[in-house]
Amino acid sequence: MEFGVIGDEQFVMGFKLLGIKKSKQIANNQEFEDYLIDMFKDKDVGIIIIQPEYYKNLSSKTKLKVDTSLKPTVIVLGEKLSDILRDKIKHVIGVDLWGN
Amino acid sequence: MPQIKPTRSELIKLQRKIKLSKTGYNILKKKRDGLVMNLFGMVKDAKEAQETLEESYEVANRYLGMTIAFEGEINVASCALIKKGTPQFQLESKNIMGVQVPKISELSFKKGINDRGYSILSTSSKIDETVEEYEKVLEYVAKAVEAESTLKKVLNEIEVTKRRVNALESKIIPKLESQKKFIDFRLEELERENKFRLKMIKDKKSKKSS
Repeated sequence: MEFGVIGDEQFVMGFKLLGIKKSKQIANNQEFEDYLIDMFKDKDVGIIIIQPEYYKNLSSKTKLKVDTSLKPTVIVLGEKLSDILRDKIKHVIGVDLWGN
Repeated sequence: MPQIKPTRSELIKLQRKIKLSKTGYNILKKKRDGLVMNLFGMVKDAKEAQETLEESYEVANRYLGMTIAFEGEINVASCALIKKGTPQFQLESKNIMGVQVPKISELSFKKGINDRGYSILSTSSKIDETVEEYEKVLEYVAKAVEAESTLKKVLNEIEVTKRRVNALESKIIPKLESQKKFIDFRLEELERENKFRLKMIKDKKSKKSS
């Protein structure tokens, strides 16, 4: 399986230096969301690395998919654990373990 | 009262169902507790993995900024285009208390300086240092993904198990026990009626004979 990267020029360049081919350079939020949805359909991509600035502006439907998808898994580089996962921990066991 | 036949065979079936439900309930409770105990360690691992990843990315990003300032964007971009080989990994699964969690293995992306594709003579060591830092980032990305995915799967499993335990405890077992109580009551009633009928017949017979 491969890595996928979506973000602005500098974000993507660092990973391109490692040879990651499935990378998309984007200019705005809509492009980011469109490319992200496309990358979800790519079966060779197992991990998608994205920027927190664009993650925050995703639609709620896509955000939910990003937070809950296991294959591919999306990692927001530079962002603390998503609120959804943190809320889920609180909901399931009743304690905010992440904050301790 | 639910429509159930008050017979001995139904009573036996119910008793078996109650025993099975109670056994299942105890096992699921233990599974839930075991998963919650494991969860504490997983949250700690995921938190550590994410913190390490963030620190590593900050360092790599700084190196990239310095490299672009030193080498120029076009030079760095052209090295990125020449780069040989694509980082790949294998996604396997491992078992934690019956939950299949992802395991990332065979991470292949580290290459020697001479195998990166770009010429080491026409580029400075800054690009190599940046590549090394980003290699570390990718390694920590894989660890963070593994930790977070494991956490998500175990949380889902705990939720499902909790729901099953609650359903057994508050709905299924009480329902079966009330059905058993109903059948016990009806069978006792039938026995009392039979006893009374037999007594009546006996009394009649004794009156006739006397």
